[in-house]
Amino acid sequence: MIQDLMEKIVDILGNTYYGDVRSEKIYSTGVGKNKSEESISTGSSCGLCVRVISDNKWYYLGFDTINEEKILDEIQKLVERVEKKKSSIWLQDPWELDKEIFVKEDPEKISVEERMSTIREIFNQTMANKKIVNADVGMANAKRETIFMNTEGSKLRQVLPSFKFAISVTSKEGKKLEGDYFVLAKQGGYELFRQINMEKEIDDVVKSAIAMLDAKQIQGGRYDIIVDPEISGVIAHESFGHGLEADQVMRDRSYLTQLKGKKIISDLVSIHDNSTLAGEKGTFFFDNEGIRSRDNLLVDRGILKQFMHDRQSCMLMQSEPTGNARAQDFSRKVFVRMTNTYISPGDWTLKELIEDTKSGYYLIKNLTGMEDPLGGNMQMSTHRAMGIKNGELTGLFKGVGISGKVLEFLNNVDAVTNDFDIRGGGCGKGHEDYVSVSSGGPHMRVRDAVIG
Amino acid sequence: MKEEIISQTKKFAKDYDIYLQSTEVNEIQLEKNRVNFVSKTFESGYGIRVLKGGLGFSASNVKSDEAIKQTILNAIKSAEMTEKVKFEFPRQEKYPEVEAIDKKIKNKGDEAVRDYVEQLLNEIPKDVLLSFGKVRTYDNSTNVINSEGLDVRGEDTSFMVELSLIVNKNGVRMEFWPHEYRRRIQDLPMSEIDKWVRIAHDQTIAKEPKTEKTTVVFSPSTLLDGLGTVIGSHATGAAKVNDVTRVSIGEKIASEKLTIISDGLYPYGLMTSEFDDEGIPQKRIPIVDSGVFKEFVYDQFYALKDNTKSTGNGLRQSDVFYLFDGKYGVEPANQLSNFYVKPGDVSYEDLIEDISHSILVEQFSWLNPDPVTGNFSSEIRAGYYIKNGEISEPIKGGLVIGNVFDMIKKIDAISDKSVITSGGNVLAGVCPYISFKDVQVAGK
Repeated sequence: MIQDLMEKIVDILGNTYYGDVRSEKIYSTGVGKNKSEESISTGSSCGLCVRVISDNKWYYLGFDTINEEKILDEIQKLVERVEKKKSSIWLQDPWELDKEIFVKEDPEKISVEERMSTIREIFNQTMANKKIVNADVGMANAKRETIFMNTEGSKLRQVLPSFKFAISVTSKEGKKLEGDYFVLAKQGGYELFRQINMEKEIDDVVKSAIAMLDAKQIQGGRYDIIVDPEISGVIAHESFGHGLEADQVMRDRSYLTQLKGKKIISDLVSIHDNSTLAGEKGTFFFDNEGIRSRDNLLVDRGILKQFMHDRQSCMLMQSEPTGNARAQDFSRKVFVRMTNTYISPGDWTLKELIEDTKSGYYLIKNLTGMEDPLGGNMQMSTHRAMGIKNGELTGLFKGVGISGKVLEFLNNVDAVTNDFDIRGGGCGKGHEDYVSVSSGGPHMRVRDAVIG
Repeated sequence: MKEEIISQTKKFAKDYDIYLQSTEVNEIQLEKNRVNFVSKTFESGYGIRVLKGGLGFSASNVKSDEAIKQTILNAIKSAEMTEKVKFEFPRQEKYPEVEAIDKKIKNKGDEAVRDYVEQLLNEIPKDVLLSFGKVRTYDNSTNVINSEGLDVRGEDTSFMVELSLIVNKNGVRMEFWPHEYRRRIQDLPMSEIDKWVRIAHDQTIAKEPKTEKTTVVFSPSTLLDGLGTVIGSHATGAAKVNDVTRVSIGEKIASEKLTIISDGLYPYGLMTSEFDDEGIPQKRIPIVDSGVFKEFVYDQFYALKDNTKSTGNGLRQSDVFYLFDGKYGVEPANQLSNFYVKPGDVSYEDLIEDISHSILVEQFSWLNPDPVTGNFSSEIRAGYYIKNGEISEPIKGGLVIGNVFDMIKKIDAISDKSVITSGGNVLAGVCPYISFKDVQVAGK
C-alpha cells in the first residue's frame, strides 16, 4: 500500500519545519478518428512528490518508481541536509478526507468497440458535406487519484474523473482553408456525452467552417464589441486572473499589487475563482498543499476583494489560504493557480444587447490567450466575428485579436447579459505547468476596444 | 525493465515497437534574486505500439509485471479495434552521427544548474529585479526496439531558462520575459542576458505604435513561431494525405529569397537526434527552396499511406507545452524537425541600415497563428521603430496582423546569420532576422 510508504516518509519529514508527500495515480483512455487514422490509446502513470521547506526555500524530490529503500534513503539525506529552519508558511490543524466523485456512467464500462463505432458514426456525419475535407473526432476519459499526507497530520485522498469530447473540422475551397470546432470538457463520465445534442453541434461546426471560407477581414482599430461567454471567461482567467495569483505579487510582478479594496473595473463585473463548482474541470476537494477547496470572490461589483494564495503567500500577505496551490504532476513545482474562473451574469438578454448596439462587432469563440501579470496587457485571438449595424447582426468576419489594457477594457463594460456558460480546458503558467481549469461567464458589451 | 518489457511483449504480440525513455531533471527556481526552490526528479516509462490489423498504442511508467502486461494487452486490444492499416515497423539502418549532448549536463545536471544560477545572479545588474527565474536541465536516454530487429539507443541533453527581468525607471516598471531552450548551456551565453536587460530598460520608455501598413522585421524566435507553425502544419505527409495543405510540390509559394529545411541533423538543434522516435534515421529535408515548395516530410504511417518512404519525421513533440521527459506517453506524429531557415546575404546591421521606416519585433505576447489558415493577430510585447537605418524608439502594445502565406511572398531581406532558437509555439528552430513588406500594424 502506497499509504504505508507515505506514512514512513512523513515520519522522516517530522524532523523538518514543514513537509508533505503526495502520491498520484492516473489512468486515461482516448478514442479518436480522422480521415486517415483511427486511434485507441490508453495510459497509466504514478508518481510521488516529496516537499520540504527550510528557511523559506522549498526542496522537492520526485519519483516515478516505487523503490521504498531508495526513496526513504533519498528523503533521509535531504532532511539531514536542509535541517529544520523556520519558514513563513501557513500551518493549520490536521484534517482527514477520503472522497471520490462517482460518475453516472463509467466510460470504461462501455466497450472500446462501442465507443469507436460511435466515433466513426459522428465522423461520417461530419464529413458528409463535400467542402469538409477532414475532421478530427475524439473522446477521452481519465481518472486521477491523489493521496496527500503532511507533517501537520493531515491524511487526504480524492479521486476525480474527467471526460472530453471534441470535433474539429477543416473546410476547403480552392486554396482557401478554414475550420471550426466543438469541445466539451468537464468532470464526469459518459453521461456528459449522451447529453450532447450531436446533430446540432455537427451541423453548427460544419456550417460555420464552410461559411468562414467567405468571411471578410476586419480593419483593425477601436470598436464597440460584444464578447461571448467563452471570450468573457478567457478575459477573466488569462488577461485578468493571472495578475491575482499571489506568487506574482510576491515576485513584485503584478499590475494589481496595490489595488486590493479599490474599485478597478466596471461595477457590472464580478469575478469568482471557485474550485467547488460541481462538474467542472478545475474542481477538487483539496489543493496540492492539502488546503480545502472554496469559492473565492475575487472582484465584487468592480472592487478588488482578494488575491489567490498558496501556504507561503497567504502568510506573507496576511491573508487566509484560498486553496489555489496546484502542480501539473508529481514532477513539477506547486504554484498559485486558478481553478474555475468566471464572470457573474448580469441583467440584459443577448437580444437586447445586440438591439441596443448601434455599430460594432460580436466576437465569437476564443482561440488563444496569454497572460501579462506585470503589464496587465491583453493578448487574445478569437475564431470569428459578426458585424453589428443599427442593432442587427450583419456579415461574417474572420477572427480578430484583442489588445489593450485589461483594466481599461473591463472598465469599459457597460452591459452584461443574464446567460452563462463555462468551458473546460487547460492552463499554463507562461508556457509550462499545465493544469485543468475552466473559465466562463455571460456576454458582455465593451465600448471602444482595440481589435484587429 | 527493458528485458521484462521485451519478453512480455514478445509473448503476446508479433509486430510491435517499444519506446523506452528515462530522464533525470534538475531544477532551481529563483524569486526576487534569491533561490527558493531546488528539485531533482527521476522519470522513466515505456510506450508500446502493436500492429494487429490496426495500429494500437498504450503507455505507462508503472514498472510492475502486472502493469507491463496490462499495457501490452491494452495496445493489442486497441490494434484489434481500429481499422486495418497498411503499416510495417522499420528495419535497422545506418545512422548519422549527431551532436546533441552537453557534457556539462550529462550525469551532473545538478552541478550545471547550480553553476548557471550562480553566474546568472552575478551577471544581473543591481538595478534589475530578477522577479522570478527557472533554470532546468534534462539528461535523457531513449531506446527504440521493434519486432523487425531494430534496437537503437540515443542520448541527449536539454537546458531551459525562463526569466522575468524587471526594470524600474521614473516609476515605470517594465519586464522582459524570455523563455528559451537549448541543447547546451553555452548556446545561451551571458551576453544574451545583457541583451534581455537592455530590452527591459528600453521598454520603460516604450510607446504604442501607430496604425499603419509598414515593413516589419521578425526576430529569429518570432520568425520560428510565425513561419514554423504554419509551414510546419502544411508541409507534412499527413497534411497532404488528409487534403488539408494548400501547397503542392513544385509550386512557388514564397519569395525566392526563402529557403526552409527540416533539419534533423543540425548540430545541437533541439530536435536533433540520430533517429526519429520510430527508429528511422533523421535527415535534412528541403521544404522550400528559393521560394518553391520541394518536399513533404513523412513518418512511417503517412509514408506508407502515400506510397513513399519515411523521411525520419515521426517525432514525439507537442506544440506550446513541450516534451523532454514523458515522451513515451505520446505516439510519434508526423512533424517537422528543426525548422531551419537559410541565412540571406545581408548582415543584420545592413538589413537595418537599408530600412527607412519599419518596426522590429523582438517579442510578441504570443505569436500563435492559425496553422490551417495562416492568419494571425498578435500583440507586440517588445519592439522598436527603425527610422532612417537606425534602431529608434522602443514600442510596446498594438497588434501585428497578417497571414503567413501572404507575408512570405513579400520578403524584403534576410539576415546572413541563422541562430538556434526556440519559440513559444514551436520548439526548435535555426532562424535569421527577416523583414516583410506591407504588414498591417494596429495601434494608436
